[in-house]
Amino acid sequence: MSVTDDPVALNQWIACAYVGQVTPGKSYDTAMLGQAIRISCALDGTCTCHEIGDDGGPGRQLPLTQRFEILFTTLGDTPRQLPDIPEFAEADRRVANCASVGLHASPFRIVENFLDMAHFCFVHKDILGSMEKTEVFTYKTEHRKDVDEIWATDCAFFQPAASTSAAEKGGGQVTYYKYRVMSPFSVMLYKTVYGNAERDDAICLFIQPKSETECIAYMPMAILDDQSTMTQIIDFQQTIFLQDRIILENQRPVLLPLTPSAEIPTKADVSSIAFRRWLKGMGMRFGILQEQAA
Amino acid sequence: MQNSHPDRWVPVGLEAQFMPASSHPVVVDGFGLAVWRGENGAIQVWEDRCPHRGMRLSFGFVEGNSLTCLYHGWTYRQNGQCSSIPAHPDLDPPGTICTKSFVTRCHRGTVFANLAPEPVSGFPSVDEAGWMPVRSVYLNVPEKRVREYILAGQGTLGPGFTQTEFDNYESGPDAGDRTAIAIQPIDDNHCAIHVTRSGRDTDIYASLKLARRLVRARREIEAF
Repeated sequence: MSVTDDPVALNQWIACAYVGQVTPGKSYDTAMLGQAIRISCALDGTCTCHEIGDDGGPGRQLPLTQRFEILFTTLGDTPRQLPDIPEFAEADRRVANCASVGLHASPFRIVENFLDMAHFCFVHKDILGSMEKTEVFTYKTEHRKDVDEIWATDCAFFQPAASTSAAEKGGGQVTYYKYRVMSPFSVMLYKTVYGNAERDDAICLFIQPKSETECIAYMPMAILDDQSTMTQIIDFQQTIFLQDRIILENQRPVLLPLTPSAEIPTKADVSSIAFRRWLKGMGMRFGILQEQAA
Repeated sequence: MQNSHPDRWVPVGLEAQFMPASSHPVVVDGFGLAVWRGENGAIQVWEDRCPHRGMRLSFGFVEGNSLTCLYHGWTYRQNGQCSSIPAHPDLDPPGTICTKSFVTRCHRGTVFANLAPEPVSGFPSVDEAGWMPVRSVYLNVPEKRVREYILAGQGTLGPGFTQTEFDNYESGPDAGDRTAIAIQPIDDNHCAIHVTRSGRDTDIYASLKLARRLVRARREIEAF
């Protein structure tokens, strides 16, 4: 494994651990973009991050910053700023980092799966979708140039048990979604809160690409739910993600193709189309299928 | 992806192994295939990816004579044409949405496919009845090593095997009990043999005895 030379991928803040993952007095070895790194936690809880050199010893020190219950680091000199997600600062929200899930998959296929509503009925049957109502209604996608993010809005889907709190009450509901791609390796959604029309749950996905085909996914959330236990909330999120994993590890080719003719999208995939166009526009090479010359 | 497969018939498994209404992953020359069988018994060999978002179709489920992708429920008929996209229930999928499929034939209880873009190489026109499945054996050697072993005629399987016109191996008819061996190249270091037999002795124990000899032969071939 060698570190990527793609400046677009290098200049991103990358999730590398969740808060509390590294025990004080211990260290944790992982990787990002092909570079081995070590996160060390001092006895007072202060964490630091280093590259691991070829000799196994500590190399260059990397910056480490904590946001949304996640630790982020970067290999670049001019990283794209971390997003602003004000919901994490609202006092009445439950904030959970939901730990992490490892996947042998492309980081971009993980983002696309998060943006996708059409798979709810099949992959998350009887939870996020029902075989009786499989239609994906027209929604809007835009590239918000001021923040350089991809947004999908006006998304609506019928869900039998959209969240822990909705599942307990039963009966199903139409859930309204907004999706926000915040960087090539992070995406979030805002979704209807059961019984609260005014505010949305905020659920994030930060991806640590260890290599082009191996990732760790972190799913911190800031939600309005005063009923469920933290265990129930985390179990729900882990269940959903593990259902996605069998798909994500079995998509071929593993790397994301950006040539429009490589895969056949429909109207339900306009967010994925916008995401691919955005990656192409920024010149991303890491994790992208290199087309052979004809 | 460019299709550069040679024009030859490669076995993908025993006919009896593919139950009606099921889908299976098979690899030939490093290329992933989905082999699936409708309730009507017809076998299809397709590239193991849904044209929509690349999900492996060997994970799909068969209902009636159609295969449905596990990811978004896109359904394909036996001719490869997409017949239903659940995200758009009112849409009649255009003819351009179809899977990559390969020509498939059965011979002496084994399923063969030709992955070449324009296959012309010959295949026996008549399939003989009465062949019984024995077993498939997977080996950690290249296909070539199995051919050399069989033609050397020294080991457990003994002499008497000849190469047939489509690269299969068969023992001669004078043995009274005939055996057919088809070799599936998986990648540079792996292959599989699919073995069937015919003869007067239809007792299952005759097949089991041969199956045990094949397992012994595997050890011999891997050390050959």
